[in-house]
Amino acid sequence: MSVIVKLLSKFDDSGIKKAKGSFGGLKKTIGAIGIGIGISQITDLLMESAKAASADKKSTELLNTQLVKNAGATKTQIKQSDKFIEKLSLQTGIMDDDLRPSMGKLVRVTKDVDKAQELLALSLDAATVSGKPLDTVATSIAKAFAGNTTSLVKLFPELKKSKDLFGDLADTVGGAAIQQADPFMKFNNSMDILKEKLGAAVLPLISDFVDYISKPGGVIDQVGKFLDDLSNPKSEAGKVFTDIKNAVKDAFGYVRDFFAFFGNGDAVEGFKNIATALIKALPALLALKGIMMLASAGKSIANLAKAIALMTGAGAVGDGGGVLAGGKGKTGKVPFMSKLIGLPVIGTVAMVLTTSGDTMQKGPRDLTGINPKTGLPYQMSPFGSGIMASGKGFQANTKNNITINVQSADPKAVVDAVSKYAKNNGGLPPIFFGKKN
Amino acid sequence: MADDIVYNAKEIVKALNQLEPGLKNAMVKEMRVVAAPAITAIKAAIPKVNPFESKVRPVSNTRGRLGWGVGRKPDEVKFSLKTKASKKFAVTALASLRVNSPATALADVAGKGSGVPRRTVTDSYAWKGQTRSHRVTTQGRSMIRHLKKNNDNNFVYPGVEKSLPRVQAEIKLILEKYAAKVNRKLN
Repeated sequence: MSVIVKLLSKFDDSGIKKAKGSFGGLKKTIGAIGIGIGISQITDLLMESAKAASADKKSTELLNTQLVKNAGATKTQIKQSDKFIEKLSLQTGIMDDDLRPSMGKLVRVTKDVDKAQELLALSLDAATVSGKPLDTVATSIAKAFAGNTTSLVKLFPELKKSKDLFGDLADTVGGAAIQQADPFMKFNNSMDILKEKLGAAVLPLISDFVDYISKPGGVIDQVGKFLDDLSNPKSEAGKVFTDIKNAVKDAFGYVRDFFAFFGNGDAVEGFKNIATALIKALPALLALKGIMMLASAGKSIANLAKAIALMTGAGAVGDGGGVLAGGKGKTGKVPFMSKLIGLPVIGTVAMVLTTSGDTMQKGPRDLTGINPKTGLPYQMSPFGSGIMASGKGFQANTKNNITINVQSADPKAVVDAVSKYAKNNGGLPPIFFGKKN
Repeated sequence: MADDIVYNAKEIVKALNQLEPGLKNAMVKEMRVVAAPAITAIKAAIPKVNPFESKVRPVSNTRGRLGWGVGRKPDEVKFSLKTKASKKFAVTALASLRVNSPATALADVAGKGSGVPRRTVTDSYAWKGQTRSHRVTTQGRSMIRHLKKNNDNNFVYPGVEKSLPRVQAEIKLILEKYAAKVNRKLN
């Protein structure tokens, strides 16, 4: 228990980044399993799956070699080991590609598949509890198995006097990996395994395709031959290419003639004339575009009125135009509007839309139900907007009033002032919204 | 005045020592010097004698974890710079002054709550083959009354309030100065 006076605070977004990462992974996975994806994404997925399967195959083969060389594992044992890794990965949410190197490390030391599996599970639990990477913990456990307990004891000091190192460690950390598994990671992992399985199915097809296109007389050779023919004007393909070139040349001639028509025979002059005319017409085009945008965006009469004001150029977009004059009780140019479109109601709509704040009401205000002392309605709660800063409402309804003087009613300044008051006075006074008993 | 929030503080502080060993310590030392007026102000505001003692309770709060002056000096105020992330909050104190004595903290926060306990009965627990729970006592009320009467509660923040804005600004300037050093070297 201590009192802390903050001098400077820091924002740490590591937790947010982690959550974002999890969600990002989830999004990717959902994309990968085909929710709302297009053809190109499907092909991307297939390629990605094939890549994953290829990497997975490589790491599996590497581990299997280790199992055979170090533990003399049989085919059944290898198969069982694959299943064990997959199961462990699904349970803990840790990638199988991360599990295999650790398993390999343990097999090299134990020379026994079953013992290595047991120690791998223990390493996972220990890694979860200690917060260290799996590889580091697995190395420590492998060293401890070989008789060097220093690094393992450093990780778990409580094992210093232990006689049964692994038994005691299992008692301390057993089951932590499965218990603490991140559901997002588990889900992502499951999807990765699915992807690998999909990739394993696609991989032979891709291998066949690669073999097919690269064999002598295959697609690569054929495409190469076609390109050679294209550059030779004597070949069939070369002739076609020349024809295309001529057609383009003719088309360009037609375009040149078109522009020359507007420039008394000079194509460049004609192009200049057309461009100048377009630039002159641009404001009108923009105004027309403005009408379409506003009319479609708002789909209301008021928006149409604004669009018409834009078209007539009555004060462009920047200054709000005649109809947009609004604000602080101005009524807008209603007669002008009604004359323009012949619908008097449109002017009224525009006025209501553009007049903001408290000055909309014309003539004397209706003060029925207003407390002359506070300037507030009789039934109004003292916590209406703006009352807290002035303190008027507090005086009217409760004795526990706080007067806070804040320049320019900056919300941050109000919050600072209230927190300062609370720190100085040990909190805010109790507030009674109903009747006091 | 609300304290300012800085970003990437952890990275900056980490980079300092990588840049030049001991640079972080130099920064902390500078910050400590700047924070000295606030530390002095808090120390001055902390009661010099056991505020819990009264005529009717002459030996109150003199023993145990919450005893006045037990374990830690009542007026021990330390400057702290922590870059470690919190598991619960995204915004945490980077530089702060800590009054570490539990008894002082108890006296300071006394009466800051509503005075109404959240529960009237404690959690039940197993005891001699049956479960047992206790009524939440109201003994604290008289303690709070006594502290309030002698103005011995809520002294830390009011004590440091005047010097705080200047100290906060200077601490931020120091951090910015060292951050600029890191940036200059990196670029």
